Amino acid sequence: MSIPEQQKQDLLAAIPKLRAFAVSLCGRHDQADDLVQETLVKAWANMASFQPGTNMVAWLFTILRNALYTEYRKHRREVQDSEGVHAAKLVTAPSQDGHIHFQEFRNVLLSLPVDQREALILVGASGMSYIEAAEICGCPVGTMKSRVNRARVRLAELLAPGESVRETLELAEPALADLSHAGT
Amino acid sequence: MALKPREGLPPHPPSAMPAAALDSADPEPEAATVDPTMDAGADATLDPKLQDQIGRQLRAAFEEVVNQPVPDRFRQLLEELERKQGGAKGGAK
Repeated sequence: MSIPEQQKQDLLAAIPKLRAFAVSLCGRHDQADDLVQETLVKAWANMASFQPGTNMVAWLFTILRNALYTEYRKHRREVQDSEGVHAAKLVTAPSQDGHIHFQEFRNVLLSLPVDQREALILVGASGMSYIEAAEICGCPVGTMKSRVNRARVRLAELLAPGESVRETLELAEPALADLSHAGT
Repeated sequence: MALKPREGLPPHPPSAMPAAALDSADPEPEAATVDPTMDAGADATLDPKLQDQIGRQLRAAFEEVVNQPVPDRFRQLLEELERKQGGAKGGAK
């Protein structure tokens, strides 16, 4: 059984997106590229199960994600804990100038729970539809939507420039507005 | 800086943010999946400008890696897989 030329080309063409997805999941380039390598080997071995005409990138994302979670199942807690702590340390106070800095954004993104992070990356960056993203993650579409939404709310909380969400809410309280007015 | 519909940007919950209609090509109501008790928080945090920034940063972070040249190791890997395939036809290994 040999692999059709078109599928080889598609595989090669998918590598940049695979790398981007892998980096956004594990946050590290070396680890991400090992994951991409594993994905390519698995995809090659299982190319017969790929349905021509369907989205090869989505198929590859599914393989990559499964490879990641299989690989880390053994020492998953350890990995997630250390990454979580690391990412949390990197989260800096939001900048005051209303502009989100790139590195700051990436650190905040890495501090999200992995299910929310992957949902947001798939739908908000990689161009997958909610349906494709749900298939990749093996969850219902409704779950995917709520993960994306929670991720967006969380990111907005972490990145809201200048003032925290709590402050915003408090400022919106008429009672508090009156108080501060009375104080002047 | 006009908001134009973009592929891949998650639609904002319509109820939370009428202004986001500009940004949302997906007519599917997403608000139904949002916990009603979170509405206050969502209203406060899903600020269109901030969400627009988040969307752009998200794509920028992804594109930064997408635009990197494909490392040689992957081309070599595919060549090697192809060679093995040629050597062992039918015996997918």
